Amino acid sequence: MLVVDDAVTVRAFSRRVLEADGFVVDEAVNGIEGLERAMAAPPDLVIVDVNMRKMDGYTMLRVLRRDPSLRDVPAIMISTESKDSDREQALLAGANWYIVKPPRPEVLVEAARLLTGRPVDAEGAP
Amino acid sequence: MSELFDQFVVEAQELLETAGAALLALERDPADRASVDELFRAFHTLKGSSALFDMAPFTRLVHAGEDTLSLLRDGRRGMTPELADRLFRALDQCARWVAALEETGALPADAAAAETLVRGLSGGSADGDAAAGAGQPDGQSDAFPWVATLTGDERGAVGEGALTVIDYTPDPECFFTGDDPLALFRRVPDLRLMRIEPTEPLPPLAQMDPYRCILRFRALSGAGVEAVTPAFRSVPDQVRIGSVTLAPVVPSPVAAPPDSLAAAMLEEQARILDLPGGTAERQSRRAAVARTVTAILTALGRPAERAAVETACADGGTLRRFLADGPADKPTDAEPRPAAPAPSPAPRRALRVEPERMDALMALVGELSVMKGQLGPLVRRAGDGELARDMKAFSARLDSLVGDLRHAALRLRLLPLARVFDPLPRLVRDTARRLDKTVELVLEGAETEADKDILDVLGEPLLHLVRNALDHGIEAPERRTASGKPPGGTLRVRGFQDKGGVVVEVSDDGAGIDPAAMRRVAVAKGLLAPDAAAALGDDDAVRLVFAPGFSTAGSVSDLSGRGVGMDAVRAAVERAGGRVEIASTPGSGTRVRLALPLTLSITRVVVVEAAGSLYGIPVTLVGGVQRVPRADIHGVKRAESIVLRDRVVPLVRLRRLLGQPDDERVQGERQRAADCVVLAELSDGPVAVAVDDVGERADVVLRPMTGVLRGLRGYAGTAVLGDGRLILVLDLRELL
Repeated sequence: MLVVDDAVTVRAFSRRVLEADGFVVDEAVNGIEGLERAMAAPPDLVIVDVNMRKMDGYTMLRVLRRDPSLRDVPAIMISTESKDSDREQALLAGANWYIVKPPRPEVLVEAARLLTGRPVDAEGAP
Repeated sequence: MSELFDQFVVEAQELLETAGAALLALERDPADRASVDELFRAFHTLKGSSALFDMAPFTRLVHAGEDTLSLLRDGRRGMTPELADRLFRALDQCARWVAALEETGALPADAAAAETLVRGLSGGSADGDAAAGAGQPDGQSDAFPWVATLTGDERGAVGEGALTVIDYTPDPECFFTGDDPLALFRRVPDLRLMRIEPTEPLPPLAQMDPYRCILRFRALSGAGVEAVTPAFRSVPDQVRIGSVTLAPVVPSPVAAPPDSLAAAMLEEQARILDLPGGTAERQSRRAAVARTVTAILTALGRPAERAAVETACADGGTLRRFLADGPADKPTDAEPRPAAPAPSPAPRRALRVEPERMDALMALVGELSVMKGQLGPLVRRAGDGELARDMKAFSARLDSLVGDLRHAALRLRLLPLARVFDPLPRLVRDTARRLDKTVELVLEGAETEADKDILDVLGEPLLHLVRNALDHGIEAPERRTASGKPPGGTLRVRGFQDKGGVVVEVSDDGAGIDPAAMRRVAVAKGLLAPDAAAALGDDDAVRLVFAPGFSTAGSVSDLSGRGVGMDAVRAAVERAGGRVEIASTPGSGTRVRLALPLTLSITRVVVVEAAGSLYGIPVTLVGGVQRVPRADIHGVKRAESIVLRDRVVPLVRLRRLLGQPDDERVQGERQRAADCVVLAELSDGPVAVAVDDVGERADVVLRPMTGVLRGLRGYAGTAVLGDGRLILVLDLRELL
């Protein structure tokens, strides 16, 4: 899966949590890099931050949804904002789920498992 | 978590630096959109990253900063010097905290006390803007982000609709002031949920102070704000009370455990299908929803045909019905889909290396250079057979490889001058504001690289010079205008490489230094006899600022010059093998130049010969090498001097300095027509050093004198030349 965030700490956190659960994690620092990586190797799931320089998460998701080979990739948007309007905007841009920062590790893992079709209750790597 | 934590510390340091620069730019040009965005983003990222750790005061502070900046960004608030001060203070506080985090792994115990800064920022509407006042009940749920993190069970417990949120961080000393946090909550009507969390990592039991309250209380009540507030009347400064509206938890028709994440996600997918949008947009959303639903069902152990799911994804209602009575009961033995292998990640990040390992590498490279040097004589001894030819070719290749290796190892330690330049804009801004002067700082050559050790040496003296230039060099605006200058002064700090070393120049267009005043002060302080002072050239008089004991606070006021700690600047630079120069024109400004070697690990020397032995003189001190005809050496008794570029320069003979007999060629009949002279540039002025011969320039690894030799003055150390010959590196300042 692909984690797109301009904060290195958040990326490292997500990577650590997800890799511990057996996921293969790729990183990108902004929307443009995220799209490049996604096009190079379509991920099973993208986790995108909202506020990034060069290209924000909304734009990235919109472009992603227009790409024939990527438009059905499940996407989680992750943001510090907890307002309903922010959530709405994320879904409009193409997100399938919305998580408020900071994500709790178990929530992140469970969401990632669900969205990639891995059994939630079963332990172990794929 | 420690790796992650380290990463946060590094990230935070970078962000704080970026924010500081952006804030300076913004203050200069309040219309600078890019800087507002940059600043906002820095605070925003700090907020998000810090929230991953338990450091609530930090998160709160940057959150307050972010809020202020979003007002600024939306034009709802203007930039003022006071606001800039507050933001600077917030950045300073964060920087101190990050330093503490790096050091101890936790925020200092008094971190919670920084609430005044938070209030200064968020309540900073003192300048008449429309931002909501601090401490007021806040109707927005984003003031209480934790509410959004309620688990499904908690959501079920608190119910829905309008709720009152209580965020209470008791004063750590609250037990002594008679507050009982838990008792306060007992008075809250219709308490539906309470979370108690530590505000800082809990210390080991043995170090725990049970009389300090390090807890944070968060609660939700079904009663209104006005009904809840009285319970906290005694602690208004420690509590935040507001209202939120929780959306009803949609009862899931899915045969999944109630309140499960999966159910919520499936419901969300149904909602997404009903979102407005263009045809193409909705089509692609549908595709993503179909895949998402398929994945979730698979994860739940109830796989469904993708095609069937796709059909069901016509709209929200159809999907809900499909999920309610669809493939729910079908048993499954389907394989979960493994995550696709992703390309290996390659995020760019700087490598942090322990200094000791770098030093070990440099030492090895030094040894290798010496070993390589000894190969040359061996090859020469081998004569000129075929074997010798091959050895020569091999030796030449080894030569260039070792050279490259040394260069590469050296480069590892190089860092841009930006590291010492970065604090300057802030220093100039603060100092100028304090002195009511207008000063433009021009930084040039920040990309010039030098060894980390050298940067460490440079930092302090540079701050000193800049502070001095602002304090004593650049005049107050009225005085500048009176003397026909623009009211704002210019301070220029320039870095560049020169003669294999690095040079930093600090120049101002201020009042300059008056040589006459310098002479007066030197006499008054008893440093010079009146006639000696009178005989001093203007340049030498100005150079007196570097004399130890010259500058004290008292002398500064009656001088247009500078003074405080200039001898300390000189001492620091000279200790690192560099030198200081000063040039000043009364009325139009002063320029101070610090010249340092590129690195402390490798010293570039000029090899000279005296009485049959080889010596090295650090290149940074060498102003030139030339032959001086004997006729041009003027002697008065044993003191000799020469005239170089219209200046009288004292001449010393290295042999005499080292206690060796004079060159018999000097005494003998067939006197040499000229002497080899190395011009040494010392901070006190140039000195010509006569030597028997001047050889090559060489990079050597300087080894300090050890054992009994350590007491020997005049030598900086020993070094081995490339060909294995040993030299003594001279400390000319001591010798002269």
